[in-house]
Amino acid sequence: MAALRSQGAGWYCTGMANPWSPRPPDPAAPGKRDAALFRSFFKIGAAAFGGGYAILPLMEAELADRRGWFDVAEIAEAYALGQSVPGVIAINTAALLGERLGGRRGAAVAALAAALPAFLVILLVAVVLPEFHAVRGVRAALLGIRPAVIAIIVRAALRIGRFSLRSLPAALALLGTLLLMLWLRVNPVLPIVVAALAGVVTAWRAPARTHRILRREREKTA
Amino acid sequence: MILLILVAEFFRIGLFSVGGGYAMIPLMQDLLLRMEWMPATDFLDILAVAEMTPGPIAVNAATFVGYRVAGLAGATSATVGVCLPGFLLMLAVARYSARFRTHAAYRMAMHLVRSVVCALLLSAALGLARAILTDAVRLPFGFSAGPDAPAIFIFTATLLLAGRRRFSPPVLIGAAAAAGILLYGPWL
Repeated sequence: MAALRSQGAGWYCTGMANPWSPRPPDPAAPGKRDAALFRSFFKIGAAAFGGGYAILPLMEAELADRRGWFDVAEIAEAYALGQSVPGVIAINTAALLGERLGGRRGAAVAALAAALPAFLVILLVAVVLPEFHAVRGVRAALLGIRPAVIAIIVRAALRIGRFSLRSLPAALALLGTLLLMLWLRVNPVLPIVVAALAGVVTAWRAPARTHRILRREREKTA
Repeated sequence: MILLILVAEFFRIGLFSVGGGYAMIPLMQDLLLRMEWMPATDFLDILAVAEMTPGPIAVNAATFVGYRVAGLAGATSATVGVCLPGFLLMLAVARYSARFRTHAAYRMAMHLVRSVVCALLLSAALGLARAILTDAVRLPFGFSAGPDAPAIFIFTATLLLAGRRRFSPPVLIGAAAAAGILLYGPWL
């Protein structure tokens, strides 16, 4: 399959050279294309158990292996971009990939399709859950689940912050935010904005140091 | 009015959550506490459902909170609000194909924002832990225990197992539910 794709099978195979190449010629009628886009992204959204982090392998399986719309490297880059822009990673990535296939309309279709399964499932649960709350077993299960959710959040925090103690500015940001949140209970947006500005200022005033920090982070990620 | 508030607040959450679903947990918790829409333990249950069900956690949680606050229209408003900023930004990114990801200033900003998100998540976890640990657990024969031993056990076990690939969040939540039925069920 991978070999086929690298030879140009499928209709969107730019190879690795330029992932930002113009949109491919579209053989399907727009309506048909939208329907195919919708089906694919709905499927991805419906299978993404465990949140947006699970979505990359699903996108590879559906959009690269099954549909041949993208190659794996393009999907990985779109995912990376979706991750670096604020918002919901899965929706961002779907919007970007949809845009490449069908412009703004494609982006809207893909984002909607990716969000819809989660939306519908939650509506169902939200309607049904209060009924279940009366059941003793459900209440016991929820009591057990709560500490597990907290543990999963802590784990996610450790994963996101795994480079935070490797550079002085990042460590200061971590400790400063913890103190701010625990003592002053400021609005969480404040430390986010301050850290982003501090990052820009650091990169501007101390380019050598920034370069060193970023290089170390890249080496650890690779 | 409540729908406008939901759209605006969730738009703000979507705009300032960098790094995906978990990053918006502190923001959402802050919103719920400010608006007094529901107690912290309810938010934990919403997060549990969000972890268990398919789809992005942010969408799941936004839909659930919106539904609790204002029914179907509320669910739609919150979901649209939380998805919209990223969607619009992605359109801009796709259109102008800005290579901002490689800029040192941008990457340094993200490096620091990730630390902040880590700290926000840890403090959110602390707040949630406080919310469940003050619920004294009733033991048999009318005794009640201050420190919730089963909760601490489940927390520790989940934290240790969560690093491994085989134990995805839905699996962990399922195991915790089973543990909850075993450890709490007989005394409820």
